[in-house]
Amino acid sequence: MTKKSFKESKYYYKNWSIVWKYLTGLVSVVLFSALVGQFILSRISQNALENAIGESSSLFAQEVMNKVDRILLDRIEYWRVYTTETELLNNLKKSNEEINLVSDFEEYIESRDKIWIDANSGIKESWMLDIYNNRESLDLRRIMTSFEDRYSYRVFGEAFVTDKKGLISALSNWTSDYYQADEDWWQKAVKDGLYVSDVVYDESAGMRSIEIGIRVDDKNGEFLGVMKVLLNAKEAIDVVNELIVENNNHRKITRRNKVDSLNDIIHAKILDKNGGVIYSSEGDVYNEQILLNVVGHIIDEEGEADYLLYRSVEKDTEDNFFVWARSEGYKDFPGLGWTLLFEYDIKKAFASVVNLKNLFLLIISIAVLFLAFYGILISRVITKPLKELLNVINRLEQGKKKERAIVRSSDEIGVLAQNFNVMADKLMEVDRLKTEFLSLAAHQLRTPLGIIRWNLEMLLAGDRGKVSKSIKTVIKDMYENNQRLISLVTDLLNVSRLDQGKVKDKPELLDLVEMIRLVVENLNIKAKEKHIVMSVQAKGEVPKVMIDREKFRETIENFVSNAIKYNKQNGSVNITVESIGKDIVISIKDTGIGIPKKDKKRLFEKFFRASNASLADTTGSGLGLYVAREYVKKWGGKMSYTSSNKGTEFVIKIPKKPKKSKYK
Amino acid sequence: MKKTDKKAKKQRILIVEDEANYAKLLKSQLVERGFLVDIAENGLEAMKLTREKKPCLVVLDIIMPKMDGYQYLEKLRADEELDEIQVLVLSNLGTDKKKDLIKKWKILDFILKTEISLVETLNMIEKICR
Repeated sequence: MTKKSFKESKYYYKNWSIVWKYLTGLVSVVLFSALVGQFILSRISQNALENAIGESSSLFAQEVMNKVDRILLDRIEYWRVYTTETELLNNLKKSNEEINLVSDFEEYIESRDKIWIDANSGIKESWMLDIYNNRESLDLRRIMTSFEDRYSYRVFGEAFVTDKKGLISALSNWTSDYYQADEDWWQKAVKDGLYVSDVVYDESAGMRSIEIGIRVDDKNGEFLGVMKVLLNAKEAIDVVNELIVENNNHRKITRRNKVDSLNDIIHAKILDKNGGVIYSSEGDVYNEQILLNVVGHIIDEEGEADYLLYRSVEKDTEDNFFVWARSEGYKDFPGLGWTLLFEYDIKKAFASVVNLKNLFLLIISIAVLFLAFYGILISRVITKPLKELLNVINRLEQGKKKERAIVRSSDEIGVLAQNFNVMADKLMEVDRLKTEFLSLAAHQLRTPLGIIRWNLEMLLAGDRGKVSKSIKTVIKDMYENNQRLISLVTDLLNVSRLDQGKVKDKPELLDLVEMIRLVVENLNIKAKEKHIVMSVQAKGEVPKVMIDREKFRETIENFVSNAIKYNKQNGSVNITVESIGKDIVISIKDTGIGIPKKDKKRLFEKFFRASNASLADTTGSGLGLYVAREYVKKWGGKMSYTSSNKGTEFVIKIPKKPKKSKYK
Repeated sequence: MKKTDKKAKKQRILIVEDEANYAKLLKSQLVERGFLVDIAENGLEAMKLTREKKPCLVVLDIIMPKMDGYQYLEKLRADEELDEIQVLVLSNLGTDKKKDLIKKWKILDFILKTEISLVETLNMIEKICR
């Protein structure tokens, strides 16, 4: 059976076959899981990874800062040891004693400081040269040179020693001032024993450096003076740089198969206590505003997590992932108070999450494809035998009584097919019994009806002696009712034959107008009884049609006899026949009682009679219109009607080339 | 009903009908119209009577015991001697194949008993055998 004819069957599924239902359900479930999965991956795993990277990187940053602190402490310790040397202490003691002898100290300082400052660009006085060339000064220069030789750069910018009044007693390079006690660092060093500055740019040394001030005491703890050393900040910064490179390299090595490292630090900054930038690595791209925000975060949130995913507000710029650590000092050394700030390459850092997401998408896609394929397979396993069964049902309906479902499996569908076959067998048996019963009943009914008819006819003809007028009326009544029974039996047989598909068309070329005239002529006697005038009018030329003569006659007879039956006295029946397009349109218009609106739906049903029909006539079987409708339907024609209490017009359209299909 | 002209030679009619009431009724009317009428209750009896009497017309029912109308027709038409016997089927069996049956069995007509009045039947028979 083709798909088209399949769809013509009464209960063909409209849109949603099982396959589509299954697939839609499946796809929505998978898509939902995919969405949930994506959400979990992006939220939970990203957060987890963020935390992991944050924690480990923060530890690393801490390690770096500790190392920086330790190096600084090493340098401080070195000079602390130097300040305990007896030579230096003795020299300072001597200097302090000499100063004590000066009567007008302030004037002395002022004049000497002035000479010192003036001599910055000129000739040094002998007392100045004495200081510059004393043993301690030579020592300082020797130490600095040896450091420079060892590290191949100026580790210390300058170093000098003042006495307890703040006057220079030994120096490596010429200082700008002679008197240092008015300096902030000097006072703090005296007070605290140690002063460490932020990174400053020292003009005289020409480098970024850290000022270290150490108070010099003798063995008894007596205050003798202060030593100042300028430590080149390069050392600390180099340490940071080296460790970052080492970190990146290390990760590269451990991730053998990947060329890119997982946690490349792309930018590093060192911030001082106040958030000022001491050092900035190359490739610095993030803007000042972001930096300010991050620094604000660092300064505000003490003790909180040491990392931050800075989500970009602008759409086209990427998010930044920052990790930081503060220097915490070492032993009794309070530390520089610096903060090391890293920025990670967010793409690389979260590459694993992205990879996981992609992998998840791939798995989901494969799963969808696989499930869809499997789903179609499953659905076919279910729908194919169901379609076959449906085809069998349709063929059965078309009258192929021997059609049975093929049982292919022993599963639910197989059992369904088996049961269906049992049911079909039973139905066919019932059908056979019904047919048998009907023909038997008809035969049995017809025999007595026929005998009664003829006997009554004989009586009416006066064949068995004269009958009085009143008795004749009774016999006539009996005769009429017998006729009703006869036509009822005929109708019943017709309907049952129609229902069984036994009725076959025998088309012949028929002049419809002529046939209609014949029918009208035959029914004219009945019409005259009610003084009904009938007319048949052919509008234009009406071509002959290939149609079953008897069935067409029966159909028209039905309509015309109805038009008479349900008409008023002195009414009329007007029939017009016209060729319109592909159809022959027959209109049968009466002036009868009309058909109530509520009966419209059921008018063409078997045994149905309009609710007002019995008022006009009591002899209808309710089968005429049903049979007529079945005929017209099978010819591919259409029937319709309009009705009011002034009459009814039935319009029958019969195609000029009627269908050759069978009756049901 | 009209009395028949008794001067003419009486024609023979064979009524093949299992329903006695029906057969008797038809017979009485035909006799009244001047026919010689035999009644057979089934096909077998009908074959015998046909051979013996060679009627002008056989009025044949279809549904009968022992041998039904079709079987009778088959035998009748198979017999060279009886091949030309006129048959009018008067049955309770409706059919779509009326024309085919008429052609096949060389019968005069195939009429539904209930659809024809007594007078019409008589007139028809009279018309055939006159």
